[in-house]
Amino acid sequence: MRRQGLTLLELAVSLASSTILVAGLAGSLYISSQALPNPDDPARQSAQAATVVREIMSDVGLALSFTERTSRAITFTVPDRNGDNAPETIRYAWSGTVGDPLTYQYNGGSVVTIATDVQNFNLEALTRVMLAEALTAPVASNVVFEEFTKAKAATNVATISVAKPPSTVEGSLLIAAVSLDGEARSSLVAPSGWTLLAKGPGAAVTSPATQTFGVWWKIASSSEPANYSFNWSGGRQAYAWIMRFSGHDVNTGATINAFAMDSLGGLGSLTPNSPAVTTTVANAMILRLGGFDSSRFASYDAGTTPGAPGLLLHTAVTTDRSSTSTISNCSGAAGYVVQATPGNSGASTFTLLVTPEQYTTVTIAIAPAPAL
Amino acid sequence: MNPIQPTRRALTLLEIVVATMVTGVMLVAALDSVGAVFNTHKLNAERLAGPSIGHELMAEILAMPYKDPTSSTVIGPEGGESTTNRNAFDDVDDYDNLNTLGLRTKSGVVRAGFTGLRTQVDVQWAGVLTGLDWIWDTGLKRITVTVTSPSGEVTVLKAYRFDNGMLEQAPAVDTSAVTWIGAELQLGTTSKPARMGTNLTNHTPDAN
Repeated sequence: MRRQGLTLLELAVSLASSTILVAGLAGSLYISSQALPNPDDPARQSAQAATVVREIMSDVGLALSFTERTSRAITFTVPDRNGDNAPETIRYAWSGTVGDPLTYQYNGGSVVTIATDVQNFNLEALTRVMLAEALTAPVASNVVFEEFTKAKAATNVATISVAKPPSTVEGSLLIAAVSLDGEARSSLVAPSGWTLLAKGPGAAVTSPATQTFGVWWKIASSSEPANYSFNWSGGRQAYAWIMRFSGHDVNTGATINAFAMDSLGGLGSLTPNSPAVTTTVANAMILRLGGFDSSRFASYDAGTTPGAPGLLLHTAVTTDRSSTSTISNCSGAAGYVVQATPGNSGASTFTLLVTPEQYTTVTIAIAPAPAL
Repeated sequence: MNPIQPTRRALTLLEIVVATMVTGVMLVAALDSVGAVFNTHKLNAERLAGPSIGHELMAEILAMPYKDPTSSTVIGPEGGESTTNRNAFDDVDDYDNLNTLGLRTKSGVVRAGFTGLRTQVDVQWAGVLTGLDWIWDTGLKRITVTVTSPSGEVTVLKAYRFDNGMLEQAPAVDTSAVTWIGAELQLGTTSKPARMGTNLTNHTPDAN
């Protein structure tokens, strides 16, 4: 059998076409290899950079405080992650040299590379000055009259015991007033711990006066007795009361902002003068007290309802008398008003009924607690 | 005796040409898929870039106070606040209608590597119960950030901001607080840089 060989032409053509084929195959092999994952591929590097940046941001978003914050390094604390109840410190940093790695450090431990071949790492921040809550405009507290206790001596005695106002607590302001029938200016004393504010009548009223009136005050301590006994010599009827206040300045040097006393002997008056004081603080309470010889008010305390002491525009605290005897009794009254602006309070008058009486009146300005 | 074998002919030129053409067509198809792999890589990078840029801008907006300090009651920038420089922005709704081609820093400087990227912001009052647009201040603002990549990939981010939300409470003492941190990272000389930002949830005192 005779087999025909390839002609030269056929060989040349087939060689040429197979060369093209091989070249194409080799090219496609190369291109395919480029599509394989390659760490230096720009698209992959972008993706990795995005992942790393996202990781950093998720940490920074929880930051509690920064100890280092530059464009290339950041050190901050994040809430406890390992259960030791202490914040963790995280640091991300890049040296700034192109090609150096981006590093991560946790609680000052070993430095870990989280990205290599860093060309640029730049941190920016926005800060805001946040102001603390403005303290609400200081509202000057007001002195508040809370309650009072009273005691009467309807017979001639030398002592009177007044109960402590029931809700007295440490720091309460207590003001005691004792009105006596007859002369006891030199002998009337308060228990220890009380500070005498005024005792009258004044020297212009010659002894023996027909009435005596004393006013004391104290800031309650942590242990106050249940009763306070006021003493004098000689038998006298008496009316005594203790008022409790809150909202006052507890600094004992400033509690009593001002006080004044007025008195009248002789024939007395139907409208005893309550003297003016000049306050130096805002919202001081002007407390007006009076002790009167056998006096009559338009009404007397019935239970807890205060009577009518006069004292126009004031809030009455008490009007009461030692007994209903009109010969040897005595009485007392008190009322108050808050004066918003410092200055002269002006005078006021008590109003008595029927007969003029000798009197001693005391006006006290109580300073409110200063605004914090 | 052996039977006479039939004559075997070699391939003709025509057959070779046809075979080569078939191979070529298949090769082209194969290379097409390789190209698709490349495109996917590129697209993936872009898809990562969109949300990252969006998050960065969203974080910047969320770090802002809810209310304008001047108590302005309109949505949008107040007088003296320009959209080319976001430094003067002082509340969330100042970003309303922000439309920037190419990424810019807060002070308006163009960032390299983001040509053709468009960011848009919409801020609206939203009903607290319904989430629908509202025409007066409900104490709730909806922020929509839209990032369009140069190739048309659209990323939409939405966030709500309450008037009693983050960073609205006054600190105990006057604080210079860091409200937002942004970072840019470029790995390798030819890759695109990655950007991301976050708002800080705490009153975080700045480093001294």
